[in-house]
Amino acid sequence: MDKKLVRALKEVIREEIIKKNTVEIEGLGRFEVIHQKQHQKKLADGQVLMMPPRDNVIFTPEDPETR
Amino acid sequence: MKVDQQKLTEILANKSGLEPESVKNQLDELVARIKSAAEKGKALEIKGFGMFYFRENSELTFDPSDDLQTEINYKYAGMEPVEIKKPFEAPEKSVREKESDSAEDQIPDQISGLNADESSSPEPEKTEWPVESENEKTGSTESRDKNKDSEQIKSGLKNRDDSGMSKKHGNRAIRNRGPKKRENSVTIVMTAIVVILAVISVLILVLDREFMGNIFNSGRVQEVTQMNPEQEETDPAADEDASVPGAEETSDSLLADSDADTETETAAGWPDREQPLPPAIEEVDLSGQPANEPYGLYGTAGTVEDPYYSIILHSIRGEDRAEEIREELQNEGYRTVITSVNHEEMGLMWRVGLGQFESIPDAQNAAADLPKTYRDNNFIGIVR
Repeated sequence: MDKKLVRALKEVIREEIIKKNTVEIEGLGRFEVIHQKQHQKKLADGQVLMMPPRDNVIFTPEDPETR
Repeated sequence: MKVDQQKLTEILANKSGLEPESVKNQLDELVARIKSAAEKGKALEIKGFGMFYFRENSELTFDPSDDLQTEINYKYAGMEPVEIKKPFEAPEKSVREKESDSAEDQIPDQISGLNADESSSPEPEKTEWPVESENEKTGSTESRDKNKDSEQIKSGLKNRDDSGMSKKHGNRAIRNRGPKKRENSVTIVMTAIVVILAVISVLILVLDREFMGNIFNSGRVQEVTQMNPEQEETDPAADEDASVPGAEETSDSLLADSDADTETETAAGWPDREQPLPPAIEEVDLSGQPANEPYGLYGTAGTVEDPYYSIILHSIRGEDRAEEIREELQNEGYRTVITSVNHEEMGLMWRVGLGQFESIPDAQNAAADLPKTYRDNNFIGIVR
């Protein structure tokens, strides 16, 4: 049962995140998808790279104090 | 879109087939597990998802797994970082060696007398390289100077830039040289084009002004000469006939024939419009005719049996108003006619026209002599 739930939870969150939805879990936090535009990155040795655009998943933990 | 706790429970229940309450309980359990694991210092990993762990500042964090990241970024799949600028350490050495080699080749062509000296210089350069990498500034300036002399870079500006930069950036200045060479030549060509265009436009403006000035000057002179003879004519005419011949001798030949008209000229200066225009102009004007002829622009309207053409200026409904306009035009000296026409859409229309003409071309020619307001706003109508 437990594993089933974990698996289901994983699937659900994965799906929602791929759809770019924000998933909130009480007591835990929030999973968000943030879009990062393409930008230039300067390395220490003078190399400059153009980084492609990306969608990143970020997790913001729920503040335990507010609960 | 946000998926909150309730919605999550719903979806979970659907997916796992469990009851919502059970789902909720298990969810809370899971959360507790994650937290406890994190507090103990362990990280909780969910395969295919990511890892929950506690950071140093006692904050719960989550790192998505690689699979998840790839799937989220499927839109940008295949996009790799693109190198815009090369790093300036290793490649530069080879570039500088190449430069010093080319310097050796060029020198024999350009500076013949210094062959012996120059050929020996690159070698110390090469050997100096590893040593001087520590003292970047001094090394780079020295070698750059030699390169300057030997390579004969195209613009003086570029040299200045390089020497200025060398104090600040050291190696970077040399690295920038490569692509900058081409860029600078292009910018030079472009600035040259811009300058040439600017010079051409200025020349055009200046020439235009000169032309305009000439036109203005000649125009004024002509007007003045025309005015003077007329004035001389009319004033003596009003006062004494004897002085007229004298004035006429000095006037334009164009107006010389208007002898006959000077006696009848009024003090106002313009010949009375009811009289025919001066003969010189009369020859050109097709419509200038004595009043007793059937066709013409001036004079009084005669009865013409055949249908004739007229320059229609107004087409209005009110007969009284049409009559008023007709009188005004008649006072101005024109031969005016009023006709009524039954228009299809508009009904009975009263047309006020100038002149009576045998044919449309006659009417059009006469219309050309009218003042601008009439000339621009008329049509040739037939009067039966």
